[in-house]
Amino acid sequence: MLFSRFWVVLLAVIAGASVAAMTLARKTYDHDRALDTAALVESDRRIVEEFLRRDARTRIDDLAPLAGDGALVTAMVTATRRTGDSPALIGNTITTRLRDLNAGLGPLRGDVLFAVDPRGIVVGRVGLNENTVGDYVGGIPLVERALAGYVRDDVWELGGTAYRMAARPILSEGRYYVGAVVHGIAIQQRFVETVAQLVPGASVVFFSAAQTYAGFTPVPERGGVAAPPVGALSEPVRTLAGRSEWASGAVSLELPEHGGRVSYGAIPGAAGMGIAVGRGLPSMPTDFLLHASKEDLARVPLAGIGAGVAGLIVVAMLFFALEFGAKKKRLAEAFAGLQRGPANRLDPVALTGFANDLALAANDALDAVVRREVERSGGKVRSVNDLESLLTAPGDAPQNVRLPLNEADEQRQWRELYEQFVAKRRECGEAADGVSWDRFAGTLRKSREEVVSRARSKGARFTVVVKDGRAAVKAAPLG
Amino acid sequence: MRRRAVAAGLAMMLSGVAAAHDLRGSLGGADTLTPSPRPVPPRWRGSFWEVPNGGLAIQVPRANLERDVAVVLTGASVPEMRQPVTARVEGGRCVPGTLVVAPGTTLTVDNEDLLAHEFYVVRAGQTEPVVASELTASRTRRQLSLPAAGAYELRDQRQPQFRCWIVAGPGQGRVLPVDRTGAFSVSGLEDGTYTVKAYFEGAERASGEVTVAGREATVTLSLGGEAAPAHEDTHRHRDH
Repeated sequence: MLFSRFWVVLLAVIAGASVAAMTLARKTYDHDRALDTAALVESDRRIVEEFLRRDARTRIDDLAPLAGDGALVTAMVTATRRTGDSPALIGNTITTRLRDLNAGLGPLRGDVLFAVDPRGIVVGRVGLNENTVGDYVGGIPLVERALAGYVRDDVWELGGTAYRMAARPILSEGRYYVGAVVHGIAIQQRFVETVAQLVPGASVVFFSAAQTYAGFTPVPERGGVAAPPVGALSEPVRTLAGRSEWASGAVSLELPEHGGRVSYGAIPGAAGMGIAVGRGLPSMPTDFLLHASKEDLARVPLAGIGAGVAGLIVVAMLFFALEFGAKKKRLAEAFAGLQRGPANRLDPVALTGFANDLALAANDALDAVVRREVERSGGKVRSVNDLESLLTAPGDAPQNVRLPLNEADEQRQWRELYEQFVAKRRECGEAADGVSWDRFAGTLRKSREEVVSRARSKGARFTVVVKDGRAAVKAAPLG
Repeated sequence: MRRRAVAAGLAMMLSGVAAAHDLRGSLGGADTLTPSPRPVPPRWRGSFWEVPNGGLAIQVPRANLERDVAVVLTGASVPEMRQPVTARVEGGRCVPGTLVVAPGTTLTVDNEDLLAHEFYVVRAGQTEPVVASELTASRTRRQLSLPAAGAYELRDQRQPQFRCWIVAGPGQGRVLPVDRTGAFSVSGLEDGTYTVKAYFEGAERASGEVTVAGREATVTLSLGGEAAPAHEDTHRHRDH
């Protein structure tokens, strides 16, 4: 019994530990991946910001030939002096030249391109509001600084569209400032997709407090982590202004509804624009077997696992053999002894565990047979000794049978029973000192009366048994 | 000779009936006015390119008298400005650069710029908003109410270098338009003593008193130092 129980407990502990380990591993995995993802989106955002910086520098540099174009400079000198041709005519001349130059910029062709005189007045314009001149823009930082002599970039919002802007001063003969050229490219879907290629697997959104300009969410690879959709990244934008950390220009948020993480970064500039980069949170997959490749399966130590399982089975069989084999053998011997005689009953005291239970059940069955035979014989059979002819071979003397006895015999048998009980308690590792004879005999008397009353029997018989690892006295009706 | 005597007599009669005269003035020392540096916030630094062109020296910004200086005339017969006062934002600048208003004045910011702004108001030299920022889209306007007398700055979240100074105080009179050369004038003044003040970037840079008595008066204010002493112009005289 001990071995089998130990084995069941061991299996339960192993199973419980395995479940706990799996749960803990999943939590730990998810926690670590959440931290990794938070760091990753921060890195993604910085990558995008650095790209935008480099992109701005490229646009500024590519404006240099345009700002130094002879025809444009000449027209700007005329516009600056405000002599000769009318502003409208000069505006047409500058706009025409800007249009030609813009076409030559290739992929950096501006969606908006205009020239500004030293007073900050637009004197030629291509693209948005083409050919509209006369507006004052000299106080806008991008233009103001270009007119002062700086090359500069910025982000503007014009008519609901965000533009990446760049500006350069226009110099005449290297001695005079005669204005500035201002160039802008709209932030559109294609540009966002180009940016998103820098951070594979991440969603990218360009936004302002009032609107989302453009966004891109990649299609997840098979078994990959789905990035949060553009809408999920745009949703918390309204709350950014209320966050104290936004003053530093960056906020990292978890997207619990979409299982993702997003990093927001402010893009300093006149558009009040920002960029959001988001990723999904990888979670320990429950369908990982579906995604396992042949190589993954080849790496599993199947031989070791098989050997371990076989070893556990052998140990289990050994335990069960030790546990049940010996008891089964003793029970078989007891039945053989019953068959041989002269005993008419099994001795449960000699058996333990399930064998003890079976012996008691067998004895109860024998008692029942005796009672039926007594009733059937009309009283000829009054005791189990009379069953000799029924249960044992003629001539065998009945032994080890507990029958109604006189008080002296009963006291003697109870004394033997007491000694068996005390011995059994010691075998079971229980304290025997606290069990006095008087108390034991009193308990037997009380039990006998209860059995006689309940079963309407002539008496009771008692046997010492081991139940659940503890010594006990079992009472059964007699006669 | 007779005709000249008649004209002189008519002039004397008219001057005794109507006593409305002009005041002309000019601002001196404009070269000393240099716009204060407006550093970008620390988190903006390095976020965009702003480097010298490498071919020609950077131009130092200069004050624009027409746009950046406010001249205010006060006197017993000059009523305070009527509300509301409008500040026009155009091309990234506030026109006029300094607004002089009475306390409690409702200020309308008219964004005629092609870009949107997020205006907010702080007390001069401070950073804590007394009027919270709010998006003011292109070609829209926003009304502000200043809490009390004092000097304020209208700023823009999107363009940290944007400034519009507001001086709110009692006894503000009439704002006189100033041209590019620093000249200003006002007509129809009754005889009396007037005070002329010039403000630049929210601070009073010059002031002077001028007495108008039966003829056109002139005043010159030196923005570089103390206000020039007021004096009567004896060269021009016009009667009504």
